[in-house]
Amino acid sequence: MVGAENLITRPSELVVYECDGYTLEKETPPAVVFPNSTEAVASVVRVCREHEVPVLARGAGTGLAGGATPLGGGVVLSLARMKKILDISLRDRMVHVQAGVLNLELSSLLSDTHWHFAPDPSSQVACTIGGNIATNAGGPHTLKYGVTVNHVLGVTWVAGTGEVIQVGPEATSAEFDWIGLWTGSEGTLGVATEAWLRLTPLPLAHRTFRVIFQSVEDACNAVSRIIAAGLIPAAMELMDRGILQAVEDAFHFGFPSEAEAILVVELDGIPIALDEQERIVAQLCRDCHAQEIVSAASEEERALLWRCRKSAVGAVGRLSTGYFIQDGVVPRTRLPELVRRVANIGCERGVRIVNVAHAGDGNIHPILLFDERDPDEVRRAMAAGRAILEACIELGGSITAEHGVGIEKLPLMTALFSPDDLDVFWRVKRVFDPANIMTPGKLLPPPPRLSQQDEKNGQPR
Amino acid sequence: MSQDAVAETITPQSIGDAARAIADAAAQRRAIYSVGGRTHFEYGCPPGRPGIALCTTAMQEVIDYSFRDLTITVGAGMRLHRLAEILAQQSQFLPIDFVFGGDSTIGGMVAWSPPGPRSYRWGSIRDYVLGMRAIDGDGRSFCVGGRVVKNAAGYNVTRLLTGSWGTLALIGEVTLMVRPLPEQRRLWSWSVKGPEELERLLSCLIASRCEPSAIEVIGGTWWDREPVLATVGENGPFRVAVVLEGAARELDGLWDTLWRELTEAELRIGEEIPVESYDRLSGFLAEIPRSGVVYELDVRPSRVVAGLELLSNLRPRASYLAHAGTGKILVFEESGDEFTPEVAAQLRAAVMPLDGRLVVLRFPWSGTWERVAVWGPVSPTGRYMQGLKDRFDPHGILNPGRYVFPP
Repeated sequence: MVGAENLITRPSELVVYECDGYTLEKETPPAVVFPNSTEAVASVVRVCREHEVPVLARGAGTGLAGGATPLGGGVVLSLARMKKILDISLRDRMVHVQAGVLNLELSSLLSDTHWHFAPDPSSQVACTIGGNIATNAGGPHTLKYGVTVNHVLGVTWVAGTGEVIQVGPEATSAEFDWIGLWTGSEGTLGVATEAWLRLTPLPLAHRTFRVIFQSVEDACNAVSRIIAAGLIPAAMELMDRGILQAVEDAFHFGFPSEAEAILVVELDGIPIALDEQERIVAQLCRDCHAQEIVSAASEEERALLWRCRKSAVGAVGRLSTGYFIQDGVVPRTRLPELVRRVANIGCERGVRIVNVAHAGDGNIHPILLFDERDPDEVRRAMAAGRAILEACIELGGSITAEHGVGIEKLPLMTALFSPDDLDVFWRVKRVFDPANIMTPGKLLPPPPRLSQQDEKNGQPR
Repeated sequence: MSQDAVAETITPQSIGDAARAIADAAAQRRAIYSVGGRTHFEYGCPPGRPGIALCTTAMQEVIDYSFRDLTITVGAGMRLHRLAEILAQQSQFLPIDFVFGGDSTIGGMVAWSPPGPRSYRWGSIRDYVLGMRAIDGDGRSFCVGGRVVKNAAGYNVTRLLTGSWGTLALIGEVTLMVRPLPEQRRLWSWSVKGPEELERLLSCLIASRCEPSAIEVIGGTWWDREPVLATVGENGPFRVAVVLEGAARELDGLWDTLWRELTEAELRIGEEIPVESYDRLSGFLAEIPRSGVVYELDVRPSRVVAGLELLSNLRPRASYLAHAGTGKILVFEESGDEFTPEVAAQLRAAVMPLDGRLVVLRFPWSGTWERVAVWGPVSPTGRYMQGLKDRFDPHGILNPGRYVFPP
């Protein structure tokens, strides 16, 4: 089906696939297959369906919620070898790629044009387009440009039935929005094997600056005021003192050691409009007690600033041997309250928490530090992570903005959704994956009670 | 079957009332046809069997407007002009075109998701619906999505319901992401003599770094009634209109950029036309007579010119508005009698080499139109659509006959 050269069963090789970026739970899979075509993916799914064997799609394994962790066994279906660029049509503002193509590779490929693929998750050096689609990945620039679903025009999809379906790239009123439904379904409805992606013109100019605040709350207030003033910057990223220390140790950027929080603001567009926008943003930041506002003096300095931000999580290894990164989201105006609560949760539970945030989206990424050798510390960190997400729900937000539910946030789905809401998800799941073999046990908690009608019919809806 | 089949109208005051009404209808297996502003009831297929119209217009309250968060939650029955007024008070807007005019309800727009000119820059309404409260065909209400601008929890059922023509659930309440209202809008237009020149102009506009909000090609006698748009076309069969939006100084800069790009490509510079013309363009479906036929041709942007050539050969009396940046060509023919299912089949076959799709959006209900003639051949996703339909509306009472599903 895929050939011996595209199959791994040796335990020493399988260990790489025991988890993704969420390392608190692990299990070695019995086999990993590397199909190199849509048909091969469909064959694997069909055979697994016939034998009721779970299938776990995996891109680069950079996910942070355990979506690619093979708990409970099953075949890991790696898309890593499906990395062909199939077509580039700048006239259509579109590229057609296989799912294993790396996000950053697209930017490199288009570097001599004025186009780019806008979603830019921090893991973009390593993460795949298929993974971006599975999690509806975001990134710093989603504030202005939207998340992955806003940039997918077409998909070749292998459903849990083993059937291959092509949708798009032309839109039609005669079909449901399959791309919208499948994007972010975390491999539980099927697998994207190819995608047609919309390209966005690079902005004519950027203004990137770092604003130093004496408190995280001041920085969050500035974010709220900028949005309320009718400005949509390309990005507004927050780093607190804890993470800045790690970033400074790693990159020696020159962040002041006394800064409690730094906001990286990027405006983009036409130069003539940016002067005025920069003036307004600077004034609003000063109104929120900003201590210092420094513009990136060159493209190199801008690139380094972004490298610091995007590598911030990786730098956390300098602070602690063990950590996990949370992904909560609240309405933007509730951000100051949320960061207060995160700090309190850390204090109350004795867990050190450092913060990065896509502040413009209300999306926080608290990083909880612990010593993996100390079970009590691990337990307290897990409990603190849960408390943070419960706070997000209380404040009108959600338990994940861009990392997905995976296994890590599964217990909180019942806190966020009612049994009737979850039942709606199960109706969708059963249509595309009637045998429940696609990434089972992720994203969705076990099915709710059977309805009276279902009980009468003897089967779930 | 006609609109007369829906003689009785109920107007629930709340989602709870609507849920009870649907549960009652489900128990009696009576059809429910959801209506809002009734601005586009003639679109799609006629009601498949007699039933009740469920009018959402009493569910029109603002449930939450967090203008600092750029989100608003409203009842599905809120009319678009009222929504626009509320948002404008905070200098905000919902960046979709009111293609059927301001009397349409937000629920009606979400149920169909008709594309407008500005979807090129701003996307469609799907990109702005963050959450929803809806009622399935058993009368059970459920919530999907939320009130945050990014949300990866659970399946994106809001997108599934958006554009499903009300066949899976009645949309009761929606949370929308809104945007700061651009200070200004300006329009430029070109008359173009032939397809080669049109292709060169469209290629330049689509490659432009000034990202127009809309790139429209218009043609046909319908537009002769619009004085400004008519003069634009006096030198050639194709007329192109470009829309730029932003702050005043920004627009000057954007136009300068486009001017340079056009000059470098040795293309003519367009002439600026009054901004009011945009409303005639984007709202043309609301203006055309009800006796006519409306259909959409969906092609890739690079095949729009070929699609228009094909159209002018096969349907020389048709008028059209082509969203050249997204590849959606909306076509209008005044005499519905001349557009038969056979004509639709001929056009459908002709656009196939372009990988194009044809959907007949409006046709005289007095004629005999099979479902396949309206929506096209059943796609490979048909059984999944039916699977979802069976699970969301097990008794088939929600808008039976109106969409791709058999009544």
